[in-house]
Amino acid sequence: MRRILAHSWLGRVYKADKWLFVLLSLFFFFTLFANFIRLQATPFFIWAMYSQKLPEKTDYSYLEVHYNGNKLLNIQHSWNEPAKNYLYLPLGYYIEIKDSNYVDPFRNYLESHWLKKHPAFTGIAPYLYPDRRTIDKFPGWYKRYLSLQVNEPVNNILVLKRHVQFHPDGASQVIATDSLLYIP
Amino acid sequence: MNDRQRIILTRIVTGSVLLLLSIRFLEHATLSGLSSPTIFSVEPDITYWLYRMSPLPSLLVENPAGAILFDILLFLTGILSFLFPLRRFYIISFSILLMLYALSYNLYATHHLGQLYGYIIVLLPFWVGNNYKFGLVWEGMRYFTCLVYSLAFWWKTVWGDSFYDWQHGVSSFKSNLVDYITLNPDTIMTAIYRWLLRHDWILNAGDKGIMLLEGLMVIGFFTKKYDRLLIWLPVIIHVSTYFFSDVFFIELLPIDLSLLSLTQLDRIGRLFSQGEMTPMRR
Repeated sequence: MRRILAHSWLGRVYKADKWLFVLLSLFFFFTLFANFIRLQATPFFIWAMYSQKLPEKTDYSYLEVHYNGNKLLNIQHSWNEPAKNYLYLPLGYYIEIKDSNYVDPFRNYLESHWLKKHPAFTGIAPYLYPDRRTIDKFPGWYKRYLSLQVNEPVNNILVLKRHVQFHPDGASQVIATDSLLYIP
Repeated sequence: MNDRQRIILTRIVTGSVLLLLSIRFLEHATLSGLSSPTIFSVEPDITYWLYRMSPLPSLLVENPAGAILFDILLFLTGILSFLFPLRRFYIISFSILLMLYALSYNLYATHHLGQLYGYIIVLLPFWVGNNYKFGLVWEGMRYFTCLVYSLAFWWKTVWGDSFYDWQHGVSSFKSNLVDYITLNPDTIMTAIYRWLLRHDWILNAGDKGIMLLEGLMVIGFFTKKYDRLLIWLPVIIHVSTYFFSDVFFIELLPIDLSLLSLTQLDRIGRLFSQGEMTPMRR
């Protein structure tokens, strides 16, 4: 058993450098611990993507962005994801903030749960969510970023939420549309 | 691991990271291309809390001049690491900048995206100077890679339940591709997707197959005998999710390079040999 341990990877690390052994053991320990308590603290990542059930729905939705009147933003390749993330994730987040009367959802979580348990951290809380001035800068930034992506000046933006149903033949059909945001 | 193997490995890893970063640059998704984003989300991750409270985000992301300088340094240190693989100063600088890039991108994306986690980790072993110890730490990266996929499987089967949800495949397919199918009804890919929706058992079986492939990575903890096969599993997983989940987790693949054996490194070295890959001085 001792021989097996000595020849194992960690055994060889221990023999080569005790500090390295401590460092690597702690890294793996905290990675496992983060997953066990289900709380990520970079670089101890949790790997829980797509681990929950996804009940099949009758309708699916997505955000549709129109700019300069009737032009449609249509990103067709998955390798465009780094840009697509910035075109849709902050947009969805902004709409969520706007719909919550300009209160960031994380601020809500901090103030209604976390700070009640950890009042000593009240002083740092305002650094952890965007304030109203930052939130109000979003439409201007979005226009700038979209202009860069579509390679032309963007004067106005309309964001719709499309509700879609799939037919048995696999075709999709828009069944309802909500108008979420207009940036003049 | 000897100097020559280390040179080849450094070049393969930094080269693949640089290639992926170049795609990001062309996509206006490196810091200079983000046009000084505004809103952010730290989420319950203490590292992001500390990062947000530091002056770095406003200096590197919100300030256009800072963002341009950052990108220049990011690519410059990356290229220098590739050209001078044994000069650790370059790769240490590159790894710090890469880490800052990943944190910044995720912070202002308002969502912490898993495909960037590899960038934060993958270059850290190269900080180690001694080749023998470096080899040991890089072997640790191999165990980390096996752990990542094994944990993903564990989450889906033990802590989560998606493995037991037969419809999970078709549900995630529809959720992720609803915009593409609706906005591009006449493309070849949509025709394929519609055919798959008519035969949705393929999507559901494929979904389970991908989960099982993740689980198979646990083999790597017990033997290196199958590394030659295991190295392909993350490739199959991420290429499949590229087409059927519309996600670009291919960016996680640099960590998968840790499953390359020393023999394979020598073979790759010989492919590029005849003076082209001469060792650079420390």
